[in-house]
Amino acid sequence: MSPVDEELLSAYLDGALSDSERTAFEGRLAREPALQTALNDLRRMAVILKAAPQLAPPRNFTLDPALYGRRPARLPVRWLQLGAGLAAILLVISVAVLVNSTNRQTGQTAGGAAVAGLSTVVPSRSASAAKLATAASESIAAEPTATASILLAAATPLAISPTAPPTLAALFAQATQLATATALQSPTNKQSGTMAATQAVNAGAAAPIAPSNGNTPSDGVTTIPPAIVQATSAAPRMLTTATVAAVAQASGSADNAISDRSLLLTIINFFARLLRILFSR
Amino acid sequence: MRRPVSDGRCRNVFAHSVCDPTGFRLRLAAMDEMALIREARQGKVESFNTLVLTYQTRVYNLAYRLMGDTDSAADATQEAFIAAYKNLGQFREGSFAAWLMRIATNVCYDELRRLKRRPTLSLDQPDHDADSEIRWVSAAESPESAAQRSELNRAIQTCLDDLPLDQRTVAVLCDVQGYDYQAIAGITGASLGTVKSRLSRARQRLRDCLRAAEELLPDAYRLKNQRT
Repeated sequence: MSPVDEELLSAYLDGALSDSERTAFEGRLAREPALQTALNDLRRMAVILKAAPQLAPPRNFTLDPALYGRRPARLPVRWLQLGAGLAAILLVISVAVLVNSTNRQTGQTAGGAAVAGLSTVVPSRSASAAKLATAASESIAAEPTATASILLAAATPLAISPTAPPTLAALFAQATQLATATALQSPTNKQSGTMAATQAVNAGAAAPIAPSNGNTPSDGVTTIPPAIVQATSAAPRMLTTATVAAVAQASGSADNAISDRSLLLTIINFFARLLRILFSR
Repeated sequence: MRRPVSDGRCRNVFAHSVCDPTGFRLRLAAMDEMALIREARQGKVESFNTLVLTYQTRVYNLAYRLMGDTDSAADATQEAFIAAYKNLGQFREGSFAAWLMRIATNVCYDELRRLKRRPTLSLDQPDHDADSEIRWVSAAESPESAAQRSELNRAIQTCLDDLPLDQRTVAVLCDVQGYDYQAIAGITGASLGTVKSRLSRARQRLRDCLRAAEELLPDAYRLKNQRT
């Protein structure tokens, strides 16, 4: 018998022939006794194999939970990719913040040098102080966000003589703060800054002045001594430029450095927690 | 833990229900099976063990028919279930039984190749297992029946052992385990045409072998007695 006929027999036995193939094959079976005998042998052989006894397993093949149980589930690749991407972004941000912080600290050194210079410039009012003041003005223009409190903190120790009376020093500082802030907001109108400073002294600093001078008018309005007015008039021109800018830059740099460092620590902390969550599952 | 339903003695191993070693029928609905697979994927070994109890008889018998002795079949069965558990994430859909059989077949192939490279002969074990060592799924009704079953098993296994491995595999899967061509193609990774031709050649050789070993067959199964 040909291999083709053997294959047809096998497929016929399993009912795997198409309708037309089956009809044609059954026609041949009717005409060819040898084919029919071969089919019968094949059928009996299949019966024998089907009757093959089933063996019972010698034991149970269950797995030991102590060996195979509760294994840590592996993270899907997508989660790993997401985690890696997030980690890369955080790393870039961290490096950027670190570099920025380093640059600012460099600027702080420069600011410190400027302050040191001003401590000698303010009393002497020399020409070099004017140059430094111009440079500081440009710094202020570049960073207009300097606040009045920073300006006050900067002006007080530098502009006031150590020998000045405390009341006068406080007045001077307040006037300087207000005038400087005004001048910063309107750099081209220093006269209005001066006027604002004077008004501020009139309005806010009356009480401290009264006891020291004992010169209080009957309508309750404090008269400002000419020396103070003169001092405050001069102050904005000088302090809005050199002193304030340099020290604001210095103190601002210090504050920024601290906030940058804490931001960096926060990011690193978040980054570490994220990695711990991702890889501890 | 979900337990398989025991509803009486096992009679038909080709039906959806299968037999555990104690001879009780285990039934698993398809939905239950998928739930068990999901739980097993999450690391719940107990759920996987329910699947093991359901399929271990089928896997063990496949391994026995392919490998020819009970010890190797037991080792291959255990290895197949371990491999299935470790690779459970790769099972997507379709027949879990067919997927399991594919793993078991591959394990048997690997083991047979290893044995071929490094043949070992046990000193205390004959070539074929002694019938007394084999436990059957269904208990024998009488000593005569038990003897007939052992003779039949010996004759079948002798003829299967003479087949090339690829033909033996399709013959066991189709004629012993009852899978159709499509399932066999999925299990063996062969094309449908290859399955048909391998099965045809296997049957030819088995028919010739069983006719030659007719004296080993019980009377009820002798080919010459049934010829018309």
